[in-house]
Amino acid sequence: MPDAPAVSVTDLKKTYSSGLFRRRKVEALQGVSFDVQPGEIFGLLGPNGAGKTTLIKVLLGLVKRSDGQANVLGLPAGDRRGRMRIGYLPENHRIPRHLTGNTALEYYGQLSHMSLSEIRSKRGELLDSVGLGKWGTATIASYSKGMLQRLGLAQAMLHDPELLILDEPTDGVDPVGRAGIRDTLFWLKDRGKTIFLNSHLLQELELVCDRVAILQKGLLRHVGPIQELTHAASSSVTFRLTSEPEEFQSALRLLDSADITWRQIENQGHPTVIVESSEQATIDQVIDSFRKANVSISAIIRKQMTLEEAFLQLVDRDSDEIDDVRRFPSERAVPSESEETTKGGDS
Amino acid sequence: MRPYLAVIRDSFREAFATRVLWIMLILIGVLLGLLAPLGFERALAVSLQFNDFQNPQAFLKELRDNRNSSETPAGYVWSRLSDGFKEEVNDVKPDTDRRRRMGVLGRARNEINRLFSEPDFYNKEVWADVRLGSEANDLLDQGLTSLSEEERRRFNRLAFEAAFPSHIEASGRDAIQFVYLWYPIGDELPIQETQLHQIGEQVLSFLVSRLVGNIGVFIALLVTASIVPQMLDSGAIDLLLSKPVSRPLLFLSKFFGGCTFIFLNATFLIAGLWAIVGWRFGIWSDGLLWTIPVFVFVFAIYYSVSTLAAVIWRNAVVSIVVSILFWAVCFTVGLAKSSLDNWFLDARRTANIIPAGETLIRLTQTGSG
Repeated sequence: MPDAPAVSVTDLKKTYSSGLFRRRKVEALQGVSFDVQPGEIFGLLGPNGAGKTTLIKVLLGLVKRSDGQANVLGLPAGDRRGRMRIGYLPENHRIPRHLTGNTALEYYGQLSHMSLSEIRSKRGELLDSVGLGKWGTATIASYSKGMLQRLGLAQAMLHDPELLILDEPTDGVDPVGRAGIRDTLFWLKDRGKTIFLNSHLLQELELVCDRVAILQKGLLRHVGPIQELTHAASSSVTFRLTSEPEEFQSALRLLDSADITWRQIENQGHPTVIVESSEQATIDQVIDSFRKANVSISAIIRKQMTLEEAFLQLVDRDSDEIDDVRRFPSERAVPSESEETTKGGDS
Repeated sequence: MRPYLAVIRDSFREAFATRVLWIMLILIGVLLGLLAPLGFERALAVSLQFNDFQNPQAFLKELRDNRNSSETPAGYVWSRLSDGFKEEVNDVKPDTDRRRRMGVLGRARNEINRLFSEPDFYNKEVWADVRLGSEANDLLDQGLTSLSEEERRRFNRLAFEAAFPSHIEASGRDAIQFVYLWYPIGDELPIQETQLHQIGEQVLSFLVSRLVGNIGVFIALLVTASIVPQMLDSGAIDLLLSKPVSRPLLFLSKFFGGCTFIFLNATFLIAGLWAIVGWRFGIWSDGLLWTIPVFVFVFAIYYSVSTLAAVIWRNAVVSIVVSILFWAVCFTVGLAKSSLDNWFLDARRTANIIPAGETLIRLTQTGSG
């Protein structure tokens, strides 16, 4: 089935039991459904405790689902034939410290049923590709956190899997290393591999993912392309204007009469109006009102929300876990917002 | 099989990397190296042992009572003793404490063994009334001057035994002299080679059951206790279980890796002992080699408890503690069983039935009828 989803979950539920007599129940997944198509980079987002790791563990067969369906590469989740075709990088993985880069790849490669000669023929190139070419003979004990992540990624790629499930692949990796991992992910995508990413670094996901799913408290809050999420969450358009005060006041009265919500700020001596809407009809109506009052529009700025802002808007703001998701504010790799500027009258 | 062989191989890699295997192999090698020069030589029984004195006090009294009649063997021997020892013997009274009497006996033994080395110890006139045995007569017929030093000492011993038959135990001809490299260890022991083999097998049995069976298993548990908990570490086990391998086989491979590690060490130790004991003492005990699988089996039992604890608590220290507790329980149960056998059951249990005329006599384990 070449067109079958790489990952398909339908009404997936997982309930953990704990406490005395296992009477305390925690619903980690409460009926999650989505598909991941072959060849796409799919991101899984959610605050701590959202059920992301549980979902990954169900997909790998590490924990059993309570209800629903989960298929990976056309096979039931956890099927050994499926695991032959999956590369997995767990969060906070621990590669035994007595191994070297080379012997670690030998060990994990053999666990994936590869022969030693096959592993040895591939490992040099693979270590080079993750920037560990000179570290093959060094023991893991001498590796930094970032190097361990890159080695973990190498072992996940070693047996040329169709699906890579990467849990926090850039955790502890410096910006240069992250860029390298991004390049590797794009290279894998170009080769038709499917990548299932779980990361707290939303900026990273925004840069590489085709689609994302947002989990919160075991519920799927959103699944779709990133642009869909960020556009849906965009909520304001800024108009920079040039006009006489009377004409400007006249334009504002027109906005009021059209029942459009707006607020005014001063920006370098230019009157500036922010309209709290992203509806195109409303924007057209605002432009018409300004033009009718003979107000010149020097710039229209539509605020494009970042994935992080869209995410925060989507999930419960008063949820305890939100703070944790925002724990890396200083590591923003891209500007917090991008601006689409259109000359007045050309929009 | 490839993934599981990789897991076993990794157990060794881990052991080598943590130097545990090297340390164990070196320690075993040093132990075998120290044992290898130990051996024995066949010798003649010449030295008096403590238990050769049948009645030490009477013997010393006879020497002292004959101090003035040097024509008798007792007086002759007395005359050749050192003055210091003579004073000691004179000071011994019936109420002298036992410890001091034993000290005097020890020195008496040394003094007399010294006399055996003296070429002129045997005096034909003094021994005129003493009836020598056939072995002594044979040596005498060869001519005392033509005897080797060891044969002359043997002859002197035989002459001495013949002079004091009621005080000194008659000795067999053969003895064993233990040597380390080329150096003799202590006096020769008046035992035959077959007895040496029997004693050797008993010593080996004790060493294997107590030293290897208890201490060896304990050390093996210490060495291997961390293998399974480390595998079950959450960052490690998720990665392992994501691979296309069977969970039970993965677990068994790790368990088998630990057992194989111990098997190699046990083989090195026990086969080394077997070779040394065979080469140096002529005891080629096949039973000793069977202790290798038995030891590994015993270890596997304790290790299974250790791994069970590791699966439950995921902590090497807890695994070791639980294993030791299990060992203590087994030891206590075994001790209780043997104690019950000795104190209660053996006294009633029939061990043998002997016909005695028209009746039968039932004998118990303790020998009572």
